[in-house]
Amino acid sequence: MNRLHLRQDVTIPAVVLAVTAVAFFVSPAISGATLTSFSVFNVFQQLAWLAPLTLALGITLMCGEFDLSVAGIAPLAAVLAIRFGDESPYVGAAAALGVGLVIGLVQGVLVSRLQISSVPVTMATYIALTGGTLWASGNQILSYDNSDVALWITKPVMTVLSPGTLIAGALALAIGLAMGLTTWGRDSRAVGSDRRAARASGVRVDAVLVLAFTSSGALAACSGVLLSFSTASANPNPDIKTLVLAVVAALAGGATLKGGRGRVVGILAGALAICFLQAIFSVNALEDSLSQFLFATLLLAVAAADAPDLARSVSRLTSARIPTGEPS
Amino acid sequence: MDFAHTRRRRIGARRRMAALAVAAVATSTTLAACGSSDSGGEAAKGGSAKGKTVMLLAGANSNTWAGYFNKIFTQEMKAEGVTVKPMLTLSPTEQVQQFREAIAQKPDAIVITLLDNKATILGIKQAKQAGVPVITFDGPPDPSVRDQVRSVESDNPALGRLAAENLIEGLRAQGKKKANIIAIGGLKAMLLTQQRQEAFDEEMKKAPEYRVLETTDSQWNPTLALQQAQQLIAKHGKGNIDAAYGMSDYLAIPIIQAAKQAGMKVGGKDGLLVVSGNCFKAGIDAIKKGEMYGTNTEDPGTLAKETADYTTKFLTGDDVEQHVTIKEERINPDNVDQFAEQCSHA
Amino acid sequence: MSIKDLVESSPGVAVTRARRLVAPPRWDTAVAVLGLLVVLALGATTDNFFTVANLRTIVTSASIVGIAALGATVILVVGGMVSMATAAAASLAAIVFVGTLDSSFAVAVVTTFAVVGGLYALLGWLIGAWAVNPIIVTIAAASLVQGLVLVTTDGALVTTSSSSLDVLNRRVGTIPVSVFAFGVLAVTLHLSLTSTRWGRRIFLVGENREAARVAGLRLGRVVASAFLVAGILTAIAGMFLGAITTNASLEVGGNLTFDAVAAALVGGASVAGGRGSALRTLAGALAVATVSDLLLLRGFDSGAQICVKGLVVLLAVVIVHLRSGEGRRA
Repeated sequence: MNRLHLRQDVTIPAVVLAVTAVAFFVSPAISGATLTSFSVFNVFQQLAWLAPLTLALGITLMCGEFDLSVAGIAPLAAVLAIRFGDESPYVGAAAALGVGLVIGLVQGVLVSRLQISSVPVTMATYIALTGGTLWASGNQILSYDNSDVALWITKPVMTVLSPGTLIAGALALAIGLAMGLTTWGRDSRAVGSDRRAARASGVRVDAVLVLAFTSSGALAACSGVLLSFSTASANPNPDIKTLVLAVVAALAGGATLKGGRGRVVGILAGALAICFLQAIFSVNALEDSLSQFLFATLLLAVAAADAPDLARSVSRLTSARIPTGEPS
Repeated sequence: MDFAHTRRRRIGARRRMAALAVAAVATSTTLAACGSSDSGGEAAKGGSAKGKTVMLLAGANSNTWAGYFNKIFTQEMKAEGVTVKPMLTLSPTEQVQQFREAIAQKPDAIVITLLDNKATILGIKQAKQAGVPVITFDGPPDPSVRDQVRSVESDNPALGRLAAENLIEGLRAQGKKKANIIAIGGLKAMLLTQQRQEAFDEEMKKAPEYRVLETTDSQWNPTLALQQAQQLIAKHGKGNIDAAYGMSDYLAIPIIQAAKQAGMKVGGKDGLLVVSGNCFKAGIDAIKKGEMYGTNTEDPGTLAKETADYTTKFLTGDDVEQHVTIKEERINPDNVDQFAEQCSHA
Repeated sequence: MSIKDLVESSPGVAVTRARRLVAPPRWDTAVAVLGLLVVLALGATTDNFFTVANLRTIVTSASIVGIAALGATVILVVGGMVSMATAAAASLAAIVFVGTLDSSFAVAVVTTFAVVGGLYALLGWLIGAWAVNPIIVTIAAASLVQGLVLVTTDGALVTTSSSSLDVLNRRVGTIPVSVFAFGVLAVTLHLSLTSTRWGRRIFLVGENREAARVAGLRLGRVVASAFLVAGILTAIAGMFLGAITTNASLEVGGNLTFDAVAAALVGGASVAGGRGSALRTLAGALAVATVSDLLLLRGFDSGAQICVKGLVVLLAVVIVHLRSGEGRRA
């Protein structure tokens, strides 16, 4: 991992975040909508569940894997948190986290021991969890009687934050520190860039993968718990849109599907950028089709930027020395 | 990609049945109030709605039912000089977010269809605190916050009951002394599905000679409905099923297809009798072709007009009932022409 | 003879494939047989399972998803992983088909194939020529399709007054047209993949992209041609869905995205590329439909059916992977 990568992993998300943030603050003036501190608060409320979900995807993306099952784990965790949260929200949260952790662990072991591609494995898990969540909820949208939890978790702190946002922030901070202070982050990216080279240089590839999927499962569960506690309800039906948001956020945050890239701070910035983007649409009441086009454009841009052979043909055309981000 | 596939269906589901008229009481009260100078509503009484702003939180236009509702509602409000700011989605998670945002915008009212009646409880409470009136339409608000909102509701129990009435009437017309029925329901997790199902089951008890064999949860998904209908027909044997209930037209049409594929006769004097829960163009066509016996209203246009009417009256400060239920109509081969236009937009 | 031809006709490639096709039964076959026996035993103890009507039901319910799964198979084989745009593309197909049916059936079919096939071919070209990530680009395509449909139809329901829609709902004897279509398409695709130069190229690119490039294959064209076929298959599935619901909206695609891939994976296709068979996907679609049917007959609700479907897919993925030997450490 060279300095150039560090810059790209952090600069690109920073630019994306800056652009969306400016657009968020400026656009109401153009459209005539009102921007209040509450709108900013809302952005951070969404971040509370989107950040953990994006990190869950981001950590596996760093290792060159793609964990679709996060879209199944989050609703299951939401349902479990409420099912087991009758007595105390801690019990519910613990049950949800435990299940997310175990599912992630099992997937991590499968993917690493068998060296099997994570896409079909996590897709199968996603399908199975979709059914499992319906069963666990008894086919009902659940409501949480302990509405004090919801009031507490969404209570404004310093005007625009809330305990929910702070919990998500603390989680991200913990993961970021763990990755930065230990070899976890570096090893993850090494595993993602070139698995064989990583193994040859002594990285415990299996352990890194198992850790990635376990963290991913746990973080997805956190996302589900934070969402269900903040709305005092849990909907057992999968919401693919949330997965799409998290994917876009992770990619905008500097992670790539090729693996070997991405940093916690960048991914967090990506998540916040998507929250701003979503808020731009709702604050200014923009057309539905417009947001579809924008997401499509964004994804295409990311996909193109990330396409190795496009870079190759462009550099052939210009025959200029363009840093294409070859693995270091 | 199928973003929010099940979600989308749910809205679709709510076919608004539409009511020809809002409850007469509400209307008359309103009219009476118009002429009086005495105040009572939250808004300035007898004023004009002109220049006011409402946030419309509804299903995305990719759902044809929601799309038509949004179009008509916006048109009607515009005619009254009210600005409508739409926040559309089929994702309940996203709607929670939008709801919070809508409250922050402090509009004169929030008009919302509750994609998830539990997840929006908190938003309703927050809107109350912030002094922003909330008007829900279509599905019922959660009972725990019912007193904190205004609502224009489709009569979901009636939609279930009327479907059962059609079924019983049709079977009697066929001269069936006994009959077995299969039912393809919508997304069970939704309150409106439960209300329709309960009312349907309740009404069917009045004709104990007709037995409901099984009810499925199709999640409002026509493809799943087709598979379930195929499987139920195979399970019970095509000779042992006399009638079927699809909770909406687009669940009933796949039942007809499944029956035809299995070689069953559909409609007529002795064929499979199919009834549906709410109307779409496809259902009206099927009734005209004699393949479906009946359906009910709950069309988006009627509900949109009623909701717009209610919202305008509320904004101008007229006295309106807190909760208004749209009257739903039963459609059968005799009166199908009368409802054809109304039901042809979704 | 060019290098390309040499590689394509090289004994190595042919032998590998031949060996794969005629390989002696191994433990994975035993697992498959065991699975079949379990299903048969459960079926025998389930009322109404072994009836002609029920077997017809299984075949019918497998057919439309199966046709889309054939499309997913081509994409898997050419190394395009999975299309996250299947449901959107099928909905688009239903909309275009129903929307143009008033002119004539032939025009509607051609237009639908051109629109959806064209879209898929473009995606395939991006994926082939530039190595754009298939998952991202197909999610983007799904968003784009939704946006475009919203703008063009203004959210209105697309309907037709033409009765030719019924052609797709007809039965031949007691069997629905969709079943025949599924069978014919599966066999045709199987022959195309195994016995034509096109098929060999698809496998070659899927097995080893770099080798295919070195061999002089135009990756953009090959992958685009695979996606074109996948797009047409998805469009056919969408047309059948449109015919069932008799009108079309963005919703008719339903859960097709995951269901199609699930059937192809159960049929032994691999996301690593270069592995998959139309006939085995046919078997996969039937297997998934059989298991769902069995669970329904035994009184399990849809949650349990979906859950078991996921587990069956997981099992298939693991078995196929182990059998392929990809997992062995270097």
